[in-house]
Amino acid sequence: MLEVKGVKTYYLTDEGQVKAVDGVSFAMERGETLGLAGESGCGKTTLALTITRLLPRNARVISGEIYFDGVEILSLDEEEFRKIRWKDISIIFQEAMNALNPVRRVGDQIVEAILLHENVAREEAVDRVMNALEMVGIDRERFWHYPHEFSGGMRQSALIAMALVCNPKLVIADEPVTALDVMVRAQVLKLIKELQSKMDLSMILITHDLSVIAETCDRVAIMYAGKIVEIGDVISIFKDPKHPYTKGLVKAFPSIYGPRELPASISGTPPDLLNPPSGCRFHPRCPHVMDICKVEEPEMKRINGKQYVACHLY
Amino acid sequence: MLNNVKLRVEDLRVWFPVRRGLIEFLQRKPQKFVKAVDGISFYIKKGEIFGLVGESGCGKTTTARALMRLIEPMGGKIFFYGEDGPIELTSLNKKQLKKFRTKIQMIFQDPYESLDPKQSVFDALSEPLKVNKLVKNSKELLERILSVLEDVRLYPPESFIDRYPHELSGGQRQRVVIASALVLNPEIILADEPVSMLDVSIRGEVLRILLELKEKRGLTYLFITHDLSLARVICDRIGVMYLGKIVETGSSEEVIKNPKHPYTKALVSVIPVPDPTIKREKIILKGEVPSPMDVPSGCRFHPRCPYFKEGVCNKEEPTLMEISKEHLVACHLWEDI
Repeated sequence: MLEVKGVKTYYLTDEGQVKAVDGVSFAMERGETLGLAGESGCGKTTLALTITRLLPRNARVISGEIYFDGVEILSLDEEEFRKIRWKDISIIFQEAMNALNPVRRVGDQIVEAILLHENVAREEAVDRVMNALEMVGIDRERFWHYPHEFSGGMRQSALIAMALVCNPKLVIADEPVTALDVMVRAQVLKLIKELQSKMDLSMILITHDLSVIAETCDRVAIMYAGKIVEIGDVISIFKDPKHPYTKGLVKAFPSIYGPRELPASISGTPPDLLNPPSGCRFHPRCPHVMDICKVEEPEMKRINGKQYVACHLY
Repeated sequence: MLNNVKLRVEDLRVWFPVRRGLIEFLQRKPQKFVKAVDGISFYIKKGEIFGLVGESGCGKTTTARALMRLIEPMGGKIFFYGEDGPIELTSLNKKQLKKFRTKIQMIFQDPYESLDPKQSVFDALSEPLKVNKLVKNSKELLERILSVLEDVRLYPPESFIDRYPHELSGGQRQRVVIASALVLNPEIILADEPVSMLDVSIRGEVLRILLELKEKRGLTYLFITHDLSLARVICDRIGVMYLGKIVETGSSEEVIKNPKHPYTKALVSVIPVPDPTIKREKIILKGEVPSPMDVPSGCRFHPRCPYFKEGVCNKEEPTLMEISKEHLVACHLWEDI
């Protein structure tokens, strides 16, 4: 359903090109939830903005193709793409407070999303929004309320309702629970899981938090410095990670079911994407670095079943 | 009274008055308060790491600020046990407080905000020493700064003293923040979410430094976090806060593996677990934490409690009771649930 091929998105700055996404390829099937994980600055949000074509002005898609239901979407003009965005591909943003307009009723903001994309009467749209609010566990009458009258969890749920109201084929959620407290986070994750099974949703879930991915995703792609270093089904990636970065990342999260020891850390810091390291980008931090890693960039190789890794060790 | 106690807090209250409008004032409406911390008691033993855990707004940061007297508490007592016997902090006057302050230092959450971008590392670390007149000459000043930078593993320290915050990575910044708390040789460190703003891959390193320093300098920590899995690993004992109160306290392993308060039970059941093979029953509480301006009657958790008993829980406020050694819980029904 979605196929991303060799996408490179760079930011043009005074100091040079920041290679935020630098050659990313993956494919997704209908009904699947793909997690996109990595630390801040690894390019995961830029990738989401590339797919939804919401990049800031100083960003350029240098190369690559993105096929959605067989149509290449990067080459569509803005007018054509607007028909796809929100109707076919919608987004759940991270900061619920900033994503909603504070001086307009929540319901009206969602109605607007429908009226922009579909030729329906306002009454019908209002009714659909009320149903969508109900579906995410918010009282219908909340339609008339303003964002400040919503609690944090309700605002996030309202954004989920807004993303689903046009029955999109693909939803991209960027850190949907990061700003929330654990209990509210559990409420929202439960909602996301219910909707996944109810609506046969396809979803890309972007987060730095592997526990969110463990709970909600079928497959996961690990990004490092603008590239996908490993991709596979969640069980393989968590239980048998291959890439040294994935191994480090998985060990960096303490689990209450694990041993009572300090989370492991990965030495060094993520690279500057103005001048990424040569060869494998992880080589300056890698405990298994070899000579070839410094000069040659590793290709994606299939390890088993659905698991692929880009590392010279394999 | 336990031996080896370093800090003891008794019935600490921090209430913030809510501004009344003129009309409310003329109508003689009663003064309302935001009861951020509403009567909490705990102790920290020497060399121990005590964790305050809970969701945002539960009062954990306010507690730390009140211990530093950055906020004046409304009531309660804070005892610090130093070499010359106990000192009661709320009774200190400004001058005494200034002298005392070097003994308790705080590490804040955000390394990007707790350093002045226009100050070099040297300036940031020398300022507290100069203000407190703790060094005699510039040679001693430099020595002390270099040694504290080594303590937080910024090697070689000489290469860091002239750097500015923007020339440091997030992890290095937080280590400078730790160094600036340490440079005054405190006995207690209040660490408020010291790693939550850092990338996961560097958190372990910063935590390791904090533990190392504890051993090396015999420090005592109050560790504030929302992350229970981290609290389990770092803390010896924890106190779980809800809406300005400690509802359960005990050894971190005991509280997390064998929680007794319904709120702790729910909180533990939703701890994020980075393991797709673990399936567990989650207790998802309805709604959100009520406002500390309108604290519910009786047990303040009763409107959200799955075990709520009419006439009991909404009548009387439960107090912390010891149910096994050092494990205390504030719930009327703990034996029946």
